[in-house]
Amino acid sequence: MHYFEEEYQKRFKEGQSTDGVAPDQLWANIESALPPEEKPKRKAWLWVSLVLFLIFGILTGAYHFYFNDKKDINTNREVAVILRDEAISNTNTVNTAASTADEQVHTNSSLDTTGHKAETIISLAGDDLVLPPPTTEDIVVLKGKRNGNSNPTTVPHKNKLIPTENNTITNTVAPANKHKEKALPITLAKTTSGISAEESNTLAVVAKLATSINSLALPPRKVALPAIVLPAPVVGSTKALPLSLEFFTGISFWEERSTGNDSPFAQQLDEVHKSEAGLTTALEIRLPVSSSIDLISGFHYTYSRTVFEYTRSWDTMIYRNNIPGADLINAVGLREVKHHNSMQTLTIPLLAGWSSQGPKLQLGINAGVGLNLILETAGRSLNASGEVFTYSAASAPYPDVYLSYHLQPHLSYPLGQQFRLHFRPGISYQALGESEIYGLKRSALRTDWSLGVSWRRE
Amino acid sequence: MELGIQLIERCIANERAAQRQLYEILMPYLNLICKRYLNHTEELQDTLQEVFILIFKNIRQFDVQRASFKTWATQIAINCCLKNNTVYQRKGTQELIVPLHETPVDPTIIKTLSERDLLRWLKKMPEPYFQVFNLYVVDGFSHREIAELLQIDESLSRQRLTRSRAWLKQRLPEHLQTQLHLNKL
Repeated sequence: MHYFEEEYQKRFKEGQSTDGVAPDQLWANIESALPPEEKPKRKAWLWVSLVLFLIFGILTGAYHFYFNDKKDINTNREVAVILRDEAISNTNTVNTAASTADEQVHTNSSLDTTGHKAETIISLAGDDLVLPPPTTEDIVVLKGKRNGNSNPTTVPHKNKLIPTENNTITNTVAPANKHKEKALPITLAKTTSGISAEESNTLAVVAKLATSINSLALPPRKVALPAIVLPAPVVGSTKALPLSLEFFTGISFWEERSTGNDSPFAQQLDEVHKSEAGLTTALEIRLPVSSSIDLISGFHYTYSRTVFEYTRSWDTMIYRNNIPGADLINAVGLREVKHHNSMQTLTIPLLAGWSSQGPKLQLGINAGVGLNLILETAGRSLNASGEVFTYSAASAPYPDVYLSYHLQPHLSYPLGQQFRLHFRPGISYQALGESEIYGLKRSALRTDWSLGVSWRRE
Repeated sequence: MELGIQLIERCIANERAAQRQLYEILMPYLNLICKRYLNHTEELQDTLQEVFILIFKNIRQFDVQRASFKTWATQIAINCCLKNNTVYQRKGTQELIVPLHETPVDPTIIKTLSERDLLRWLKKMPEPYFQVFNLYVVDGFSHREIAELLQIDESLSRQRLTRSRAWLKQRLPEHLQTQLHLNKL
């Protein structure tokens, strides 16, 4: 008897049969009794958000490629501020015995134009940036003079402070773009009286050369991302893992700070680096552990940008009244430099995610750690001596690999059956560690604002 | 039978495609359950229709913490079948007295029977016995649960199970042989 019950249970416990029913007809009967299906409402805001998302993606992509192409050219934004002018055309000599830097500080806001009238400023040495004149006079700035001093006097651009040790009127500042520098072989410093027509022609040629050099484009610097390898499907398994694939893109901001050090240099270092919008993209796999807890990993690529601001003094030779051949004067200029630093990072995160499903919206938060690998970095900063230095990936004040700690709240909305639209602001603490160049412990706070889509396998 | 939470969520949202998908997954399984519990096979299609409508209309009440969706759907199907059996119950009385003497069972014959023939033969058992036999042996209900389901005492449930077993022991060999002979014809 026991055998019969076992056999009977085995046959009917998990048994299936479609005999005796017409499935399609039965479904038609069932469907007619069910409440009518609500057609998904094409909400305008959803379409608007999708369009914005696409525009945002295109813009961030274009932005990224633009800076890859132009990074080596547009690193310096220079402003020539005339601090003092001397040696009026009567003497026609370059006054190399400049006043002290203190004088320059005092004359910064109110320029001593000594009654000369000027009209415009045209900078030939730097970029093609034309700024309004600091005074009612317009001055033609021809070129900074260089004397080969190997120890340039530079001061970080903090509250527009002027160099404190520059006691001579010398331009020791190397232009930010070395290509430009090499292409300007002619020194325009003049010590003779007046300027001949031939010299004026030479100056015109130089001006043309400088303009054409600005249009030189360097080949884009491309960094190949490592190939993303998805886990191979398990052969022979009939149960598919209910994982989700998620793609995010957005903007990120990098705020770098000194950790545990309140020295003047640490504060100065913090102030000279300003945050700029960067780009972040992420490809993640989300594996549910329980009904509300997931494990998340994948790849995050981040293009972080900061601006390093500082000032340098330089000499200028100028003509008055914007007329070549007119009175030549010597002046001390102040160059404000904004150098765009960049860093490309690949992060492999390991996050735990909690989420709560509402009728439509899903709210959740991810938290965990990330292993960061710096792919490329370039920029300028201050070293421990307070001098400006240029670094690349090999000489950067950052470690090659470091840990970060992430917190990512997120909100998602269903898009069809398997897709969801995500909005994810995130914050991460980047433990950069001790830097030998700075002699300080550094860290950064990175904030991300990302939109994304996810696909869930059922 | 894999039923994803997301599929159930879509059914809750009254998505017709998801409901059809769930129907196609569940129908063969619930069909066999209804065949076991229904006394009158002509009511099978109507009962299945009622079962699925009940499932879709009450799907919000499904609690994943308490039971699997399959168990929940099975419970609905059994309730529906028992109710329909009551509604369509033919008037009249059935003899529930079963002789207690037993005859030996030939196990080899059982395997040769199809599910349809096996059910047809088992349904010759008095309906109350067969209900308890199905609920206890196949679907794993306890006597307390059976008592609640059928609105009878637990002791009566036990008694009906004993009598169903006695009925089987007494009749299994000769009926199976007859059935096999008929199938061959």
